[in-house]
Amino acid sequence: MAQSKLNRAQSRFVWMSLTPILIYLVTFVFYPFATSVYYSLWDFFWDEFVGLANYKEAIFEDSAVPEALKNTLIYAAIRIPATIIPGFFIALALNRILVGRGFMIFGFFAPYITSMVAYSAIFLYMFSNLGLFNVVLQALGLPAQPFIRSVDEALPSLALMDAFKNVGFDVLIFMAALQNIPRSLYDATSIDGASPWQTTWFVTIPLVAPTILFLVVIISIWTIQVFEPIYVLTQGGPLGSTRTVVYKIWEAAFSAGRVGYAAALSVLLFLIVGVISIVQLRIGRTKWEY
Amino acid sequence: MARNSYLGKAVSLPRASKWLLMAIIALLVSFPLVWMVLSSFKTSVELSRAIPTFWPEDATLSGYIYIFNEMPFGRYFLNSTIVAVASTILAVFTSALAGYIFAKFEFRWKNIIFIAILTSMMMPGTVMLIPRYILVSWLGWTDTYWALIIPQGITVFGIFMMRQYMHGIPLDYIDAARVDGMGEFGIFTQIILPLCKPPIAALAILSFIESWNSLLWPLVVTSSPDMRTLPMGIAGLATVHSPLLQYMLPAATISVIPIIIVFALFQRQFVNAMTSAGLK
Amino acid sequence: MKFRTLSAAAVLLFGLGGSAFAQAQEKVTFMAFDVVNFRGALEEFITEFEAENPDVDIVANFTPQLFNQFLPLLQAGNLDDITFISSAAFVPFLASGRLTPVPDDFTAKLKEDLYPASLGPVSRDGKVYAVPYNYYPSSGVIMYNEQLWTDAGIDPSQAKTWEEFMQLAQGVTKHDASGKMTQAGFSAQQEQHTIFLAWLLQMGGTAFDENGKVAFNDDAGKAALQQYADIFQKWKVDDYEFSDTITGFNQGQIAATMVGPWYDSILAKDHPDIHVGHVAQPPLPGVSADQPDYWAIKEVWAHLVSADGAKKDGTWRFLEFLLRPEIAARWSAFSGEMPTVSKALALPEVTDTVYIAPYVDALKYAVTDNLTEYLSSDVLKEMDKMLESVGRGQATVDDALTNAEVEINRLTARMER
Repeated sequence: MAQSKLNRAQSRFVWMSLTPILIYLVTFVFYPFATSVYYSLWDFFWDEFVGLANYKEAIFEDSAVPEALKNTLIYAAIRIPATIIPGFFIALALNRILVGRGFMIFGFFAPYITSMVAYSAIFLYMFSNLGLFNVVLQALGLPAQPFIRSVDEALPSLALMDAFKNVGFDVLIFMAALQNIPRSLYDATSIDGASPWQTTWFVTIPLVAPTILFLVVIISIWTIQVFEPIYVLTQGGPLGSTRTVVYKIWEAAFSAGRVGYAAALSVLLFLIVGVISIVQLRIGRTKWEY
Repeated sequence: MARNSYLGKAVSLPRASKWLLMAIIALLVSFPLVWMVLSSFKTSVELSRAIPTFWPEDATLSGYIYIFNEMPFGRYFLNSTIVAVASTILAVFTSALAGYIFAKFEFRWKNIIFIAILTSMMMPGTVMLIPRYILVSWLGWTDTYWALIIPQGITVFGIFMMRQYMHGIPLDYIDAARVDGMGEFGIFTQIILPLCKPPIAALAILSFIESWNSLLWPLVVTSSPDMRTLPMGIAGLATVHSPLLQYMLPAATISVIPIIIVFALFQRQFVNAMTSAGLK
Repeated sequence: MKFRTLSAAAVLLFGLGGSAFAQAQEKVTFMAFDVVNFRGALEEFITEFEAENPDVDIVANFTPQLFNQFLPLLQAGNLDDITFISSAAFVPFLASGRLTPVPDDFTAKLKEDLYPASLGPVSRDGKVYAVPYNYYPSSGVIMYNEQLWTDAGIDPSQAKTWEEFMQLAQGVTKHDASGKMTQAGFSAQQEQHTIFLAWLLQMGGTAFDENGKVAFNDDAGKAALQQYADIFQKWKVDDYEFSDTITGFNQGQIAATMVGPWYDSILAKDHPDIHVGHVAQPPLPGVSADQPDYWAIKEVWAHLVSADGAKKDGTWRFLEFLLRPEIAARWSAFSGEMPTVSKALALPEVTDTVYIAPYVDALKYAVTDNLTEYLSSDVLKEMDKMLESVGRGQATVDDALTNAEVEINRLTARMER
């Protein structure tokens, strides 16, 4: 509920507070983005206006772009459910635990607050051929795996590492959502004689649906822009199998010096993220609005 | 099977074994960090052993001594602290103010402005690096704290979160204050902000984490060693020919420990904050 | 020069550290890579130079993120007076007008003093855009872990041909019960392009034509790439899924490799426990033993002077100082880099340094012109990708070459106008 009519003092407050914030936003968010859009029409090697040539190259000529897009989507397809699904069940279980709950929350959340750089450093050690993962695999009688040194395993390895690190965020958000569910609803279902799984499926999940939607949208936005684990662990390799769109943008701008081309790629990525978010919100609305 | 419990307390597994399962999962998730701390006391020889050791065999502080003596990690630490604290304060303030205005006032172009703000969450940050860098260098801020703090002092996610929470604050509070003759800015600082402790705490912790851990922007915008931050220090050890784990692991530990301590101290408040911050 | 005399007088009068004098100093900013085999030597040189030239203050900034910081600085026109960086980072900009050419008189000095091929990567249309200080030759020297070969009872210097060497390397390659590699006989994954470029030349090929178009998609290129693929597919002495060269060698899991003296120098500093031996690369199949084309200069590290830096007298005096043969020789001995200054090659610091000497020996085979000004870091990366794809068995030699030709031509086309 908002104040509908503003008197002069209120109106002055609104505009006097909003103006600096808008200037701030425009300067550090919108202006740089607009500059990127402008740069995307230029070739920076030669200071030459090239129109849509960068877009043409990105869409039709550079075979690394569809590959990077594919990698990004695979990464997201692994990473997003890999935190949301366990996150939900962990939160469900944690909400029922009374003893040692604080320690458990701490255990789940500590990796989330660790920097990706530090976290990747430790995984670099664990992924190596002498690393902990292979020692454990071999102790279990399983063959050693190349993990990030393999074209097939590198991308899933990174996505799962990312999920492992960030599952705590989802847990916390779900715990919040679950605590806001009125107890009376559960009492009602237990009188009906529903099993715990039925309760979870037919009562809890629909009630946290808005939270699931929120997480899907926000994690998609973050995941599609994934950069740091790749930067620290694989630099897009082996053979481009972990080169995501943002990593490709980084390479174009910082290693090839093609700022205009990188800008064109990022405008395209912006459009893709936008479309994905809108589709997710649409689907979420039609499905869960009742 | 008991079916009368809150949140379906009894699924078929006995309670104790479920507790144990959760404890094991929690341990597993945090294991990499435990492993990192333990391994930070190992020598480079031990780190490249074919069968990794769990406890350090001959524990050494040499990695820590190296990063503080041979590298300015103390300075990196100070920089990270200054930048994270300052940008967090700024981000919380701007988010709260903007969130309040979008939640509690009707004005022209409100929806358009708000949608425009939300849209900017989808702009890939990587791309803005160079335009932002050029802007900052035009302002003469390169290699200064300004460049590290100011662009991080506004967060669209924070504005969104604050607005969500403030929606729930009854207008009566605000109207009562107006009747008492309180100024609009006074209402914001004296009525609204104290009511918003939970989302402020949550946002503060999230902003602090983000700033403390950020790598790319500091990398691009600082050039002198005096202005480097902790993640840059760690990344610097990783990119030179081959990762120097014997230094990287102590450096990573140093960067993680304070944030973990802060979290451990304020965990209860933080969890309560997230729970009631309306992040949903 | 009046200014200089005045400051010199000021030094005599007030001694070092006088605050009045500090004002008169000319500040020259200097950005360099923060890496264990660079920093110590450069810091020493700066101290010595400043003692000799009290009117100049070299403000050094060693950064481990040099390559990430370089482009934003260049784009915004904020480069330090001198940036010491690999040519691969700036060759795309040679023709763009963004770099400041070295003045003619200094260029003349460079042409006289430097090893001729080292100017290749920094020159375009007769102008020189940076001052080369050391070069990265494609390697012609095999370095090996003495312990691993002794353990296996094999002497790597016995090989007379490349095939014989590969057979010996098989003897030091190990696998576990499941067939996974646990020790590589010869690792070829560090900047694979260095090996390819050398072999390409040894096979009588060349990397580019004069217009920057790929010239290696021919018989020589095929032969060179096939040799590379054979390491993995035929001889199986290395495996991409096993370990990268540097980590593996550091950990004593790799018996031999062909990287370059810089890595020798880093090993000597960081892993003194690993004893390294050297042996010249035996001739490839179909190449006679006296074929001279063993080396290609694939990139140089050079001092790039900004427009502001070029106006400062101190900049050029510092570079002149660095180019003195005795300083260049010390640089080489410390960093394990091949010096560009010809006279430095004969000095004892270079010829007596155990890890540089074998490489200097091999220099008699050097190739002086292979159009290296097109070897930018993205072109080199594309070459590495071609090599890795055949090494992993993901592409045939023909497909990999054709694909690389298309991609690299697209990249080099942008450097010309």
